Amino acid sequence: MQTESDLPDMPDGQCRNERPIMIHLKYCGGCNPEIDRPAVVKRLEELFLSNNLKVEFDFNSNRNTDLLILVNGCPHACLEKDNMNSATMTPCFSIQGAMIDYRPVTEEELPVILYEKILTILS
Amino acid sequence: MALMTGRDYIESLRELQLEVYFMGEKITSVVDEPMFQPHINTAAMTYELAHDPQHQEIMTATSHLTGEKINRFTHVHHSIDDLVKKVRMMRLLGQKTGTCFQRCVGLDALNALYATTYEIDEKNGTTYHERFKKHLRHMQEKDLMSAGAMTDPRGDRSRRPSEQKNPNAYLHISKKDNDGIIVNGAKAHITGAINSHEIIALPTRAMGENDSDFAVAFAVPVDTKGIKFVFARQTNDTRRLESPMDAGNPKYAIVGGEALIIFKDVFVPWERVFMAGEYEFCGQLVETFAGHHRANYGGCKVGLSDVVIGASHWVADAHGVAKASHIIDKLTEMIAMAETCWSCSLACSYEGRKTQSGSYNINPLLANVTKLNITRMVYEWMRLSHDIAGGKIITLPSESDINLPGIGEVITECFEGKEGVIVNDIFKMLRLVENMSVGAGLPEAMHGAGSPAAQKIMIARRSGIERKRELAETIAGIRTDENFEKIVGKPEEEYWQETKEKIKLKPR
Ligand SMILES: Cc1cc2nc3c(=O)[nH]c(=O)nc-3n(C[C@H](O)[C@H](O)[C@H](O)COP(=O)(O)OP(=O)(O)OC[C@H]3O[C@@H](n4cnc5c(N)ncnc54)[C@H](O)[C@@H]3O)c2cc1C
Repeated sequence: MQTESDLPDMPDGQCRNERPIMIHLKYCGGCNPEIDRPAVVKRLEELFLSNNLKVEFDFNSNRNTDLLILVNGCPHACLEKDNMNSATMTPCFSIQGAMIDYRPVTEEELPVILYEKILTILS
Repeated sequence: MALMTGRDYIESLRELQLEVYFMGEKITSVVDEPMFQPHINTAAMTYELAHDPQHQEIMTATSHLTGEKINRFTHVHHSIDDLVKKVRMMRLLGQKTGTCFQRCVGLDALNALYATTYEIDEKNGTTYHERFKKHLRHMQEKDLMSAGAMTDPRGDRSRRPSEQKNPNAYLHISKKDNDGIIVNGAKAHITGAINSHEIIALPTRAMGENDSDFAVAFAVPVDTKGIKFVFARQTNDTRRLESPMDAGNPKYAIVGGEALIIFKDVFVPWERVFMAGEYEFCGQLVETFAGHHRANYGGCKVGLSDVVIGASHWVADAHGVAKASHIIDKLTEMIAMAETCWSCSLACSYEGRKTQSGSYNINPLLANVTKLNITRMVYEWMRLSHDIAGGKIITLPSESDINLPGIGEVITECFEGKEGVIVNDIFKMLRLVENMSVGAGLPEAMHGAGSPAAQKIMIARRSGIERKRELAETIAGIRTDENFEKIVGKPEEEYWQETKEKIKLKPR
């Protein structure tokens, strides 16, 4: 896996990583979400791109991915039951409605905090 | 082809040559009939969302028969998680369509038959369950939609099926031979019938020995010879032929699009027959079906409430009253009622249990409470939506008049709201509230999945009133209270004897 520190600074517009960061993205079923789940993901993607980092989201991945992100629409976090205790070593992040790591955040902050957490893991 | 998309589903209906009547005419193409199209779009949503990564988690399941990914509407629940995901799916689809998406009746029929055929075979040594599993596999592999046809016309409700003057008041077996059975009769109010691929027929009530010909369950393709459909009318239904705006919910309509299904000498081969005379299992089959079905109502109708609450708030805002305390109070009331019903649906699912067959059933007491609440609370939250939206929901001019040069501009001025709100949007939202709250949606909440008296019977039967009496007797001191005796460290009688003496000693 490439890490943030491995990535050279590049002139504007050019991506710093040749191989995109592969993210396995799982949405909960969305029966009554408290946040706009796709908007959070879109913002996260924009954050990567604006920092010249190529990222690829994969929904039904059997491929090797660098990360797993669970996008739960509410704090009940249905996805965690089946995905958090997996034996795989893939780092996993879970959004629980307007919460991350069970700490309340605003919907606007959510993608930013998530982005920072991902970078920390990658570096 | 597993997991059809919405469009695949609609195209798949073209292959079916069914006989449908509506407004005195025989309909040549169900798919192209504008009166049916919104209902078809709604059912298509059950297919489309199964492909959406944002909803797959609840819209799909893993078949216990094949291990393949299937649409949850063809799944037999095999865990509490399945039961919970089912009601989550109901709420989601209610939110996405604002109406009945039809496919749950067939799902509940599949689940009821799965459990009951297993138990019939256990007792009688028959082979219904294996037959049924083959049918289920066919449904899953082809991702088909079944109309769940339980309700018979029932003639004189005070008489049993065998006591009816007209035997066709209940669907029944007229003949059995080596190849199969011939059935006659009808099923009434069947949701999504004209846009399903299959019909699953079930008996509608508990039956006695004399009613064994009426104890019949089977599945047939909708275009089986001898089957006719008569599509039902609804409040303001033909508005959709006149103006999308006037229709209120022109994309998805209201309720499910119900039909009367007439069976005239319909042949059903044995491999599609799942009950033929086992009258003693009718009560169980009906209860299992009704339990699953009643559990849904705190999902789907709450999804609808999400839409109508949103619409009510939108209208209040457009009229500049969204911050008025009584409006906030009414919206809060609506939300509290809706979430009460949602809690019931979740609770009856979380409190579910495993059946002999290995499938899972909801908690029947809580499922009946769910539906009973719906028969009241939907009326109440719709009443509040009328209060908030105003009388305009039933007095708005038509779209044609709004568009009429010379008068349209004046009409538009008369319906303006607060500055910045587009008047046309106000018209649309008021019509949506009208569509959802004034018409067929209310009696659906009352009678769909059974009238309130049916729920009360089930609640009374499962209330455990004897146990409640025992509890009261224990607290009142009529019955021994072992825990109390442990706490006070002596038999109750002795304790009270001592206490009385103490009280007597106390100076007053
Ligand atoms: C929109 C809608 C969709 C539906 N979809 C389906 C479907 O897909 N599949 C399906 O199988 N059914 C469906 N139904 C049928 C539904 O289950 C019935 O409407 C319900 O069981 C009530 O039957 P009924 O309408 O004939 O009313 P009735 O039976 O005429 O009830 C009227 C009143 O009579 C009372 N009553 C009836 N029988 C007795 C009795 N024996 N003793 C005392 N009181 C009695 C009732 O409690 C009620 O108060 C649907 C109904 C609606 C309204």
